[in-house]
Amino acid sequence: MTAQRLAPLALLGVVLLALGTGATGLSPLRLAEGLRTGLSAQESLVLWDIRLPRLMLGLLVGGGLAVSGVLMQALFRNPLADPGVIGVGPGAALGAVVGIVLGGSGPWVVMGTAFLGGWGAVALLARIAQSGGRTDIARLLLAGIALSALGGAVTGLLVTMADDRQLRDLSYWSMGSLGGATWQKVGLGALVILPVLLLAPRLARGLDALALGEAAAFHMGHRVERLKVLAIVMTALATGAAVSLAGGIGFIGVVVPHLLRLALGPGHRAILPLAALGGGALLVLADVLARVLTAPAELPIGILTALIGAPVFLHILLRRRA
Amino acid sequence: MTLEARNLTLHRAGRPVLNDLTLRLHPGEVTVLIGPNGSGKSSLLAALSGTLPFDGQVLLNGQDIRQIPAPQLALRRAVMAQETTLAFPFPVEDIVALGASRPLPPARIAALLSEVGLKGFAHRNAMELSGGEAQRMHLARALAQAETGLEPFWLMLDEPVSSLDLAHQVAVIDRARAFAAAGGGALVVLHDLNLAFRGADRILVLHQGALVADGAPSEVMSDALIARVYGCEAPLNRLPPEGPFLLVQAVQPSARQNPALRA
Repeated sequence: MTAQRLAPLALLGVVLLALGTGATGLSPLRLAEGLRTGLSAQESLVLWDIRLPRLMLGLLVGGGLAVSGVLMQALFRNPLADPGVIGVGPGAALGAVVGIVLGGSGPWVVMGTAFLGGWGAVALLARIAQSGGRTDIARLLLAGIALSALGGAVTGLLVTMADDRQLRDLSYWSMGSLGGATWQKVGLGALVILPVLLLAPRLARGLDALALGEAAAFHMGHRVERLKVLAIVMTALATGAAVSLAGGIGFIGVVVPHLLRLALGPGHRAILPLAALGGGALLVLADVLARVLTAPAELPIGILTALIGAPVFLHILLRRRA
Repeated sequence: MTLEARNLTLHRAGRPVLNDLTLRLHPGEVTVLIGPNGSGKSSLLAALSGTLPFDGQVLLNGQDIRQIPAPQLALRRAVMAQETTLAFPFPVEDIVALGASRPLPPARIAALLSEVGLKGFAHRNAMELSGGEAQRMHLARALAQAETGLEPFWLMLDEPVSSLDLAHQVAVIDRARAFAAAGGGALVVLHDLNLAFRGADRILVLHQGALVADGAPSEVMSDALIARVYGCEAPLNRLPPEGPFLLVQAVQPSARQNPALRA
């Protein structure tokens, strides 16, 4: 497959671009030169303390979102499903608002409440969807819609209680950013997201079988209930961590799997590893644009992923119809 | 080495659909399950394949089917459902390969495809097949599972010919016969009585969740049974007389027997 061979090269290009782009004059060329001749103390500081953690966070968050998207689409047997369906996004948003409005706006507080909010929503939904020892997917979907609406209402209620500063924090959080990347955040993200990226491909064959329906997957020898629970837990982990580390970033989980399916076919053995790489690469690329387009100001990255993602998505839909 | 149901009772949405069924199926035979709509054919197949929860017991080679984990069960039986919808556009060969419990070489997949009359379809998008082509693809998938399973293997086909033309209907039944002749067990749900007569070593007739007839086709099939079970009069003829072919003649609705047809 050419796509498999091109992916590492494309990723390398994105990495160099990301490391060589920013407010200070450390360009990709200077970076390449510096690798041989040594960087100045200031350049080295910019590279190690600002750009590298930001790059790593972007790769983790983007990869986590894209792999979560693949898992949800396989679980719901629908190419438009995303982690929001099982309440991770709305739950995390509610958690973040609770953190910002009631908890003071220390970044660790908000991260914690967002992660807990995401997990709480998933746990509640999974419980509601239990029926006779099985996870009923249709019920999961409907309960997800109801719970998202409820979460939105409570979020709105809290927003009316917020002061100006909190409102600003809130709106920035909801648009997403890789701005506050530190090595601690990268470490936390790696701890939660990396295992999901590495383990998800092990579900590939079961997820393929699920494309024929739960009964057929069972007939072909797959432990369907375990598969569903694993997919939900992995998504809650990866998306929960991604959203609490970087805020609301949309479309990565839908666009990346969709493009990969068009290029490689729907087989999950090929899709899952490349979604981990491709989601990361796309998010880092969007982050480069976010830093460059309105420099020295920075665009929230969620705006960019939606600006790029939505038209690409519509284009794909229209082309497929033709 | 049998597939056995003991006092099998199954409820769906609170309604009983199978009522205290006891039966034993043998490998080396094609068992055809017939009966009117809603008589419990698919439910029986679902219970015997371990798909739906039930009361009573189903024993596969003497072992309680509920105690057999899904991967081991898949080595013992394959199921072709009435309808299988596909969520993503896999190529046909991938769908067939999904059935196999261990990887099959592409040449074997291609051979299975030509066996069901889908030669050259390997790279086609499985979502764009006609109803009959898709049905044969799923049969090939079940055969791939049989090929990678353990003997005796059970093939459970729920209305496998409902979308097929005449030639392919006969081909599918003959394939089931060949499978049984090689030592496997086949359980096939059919509506076409002629086809059932042609293909079955044994016919089970279900009516309102109960087994009302069980035996060789020529013993089981009679005008009286058709009238009783289907509530219509369709005189049966043998071609030649007492021969292997059955001809179900023009159906006369019988208002006396079937309240549903009373205007």
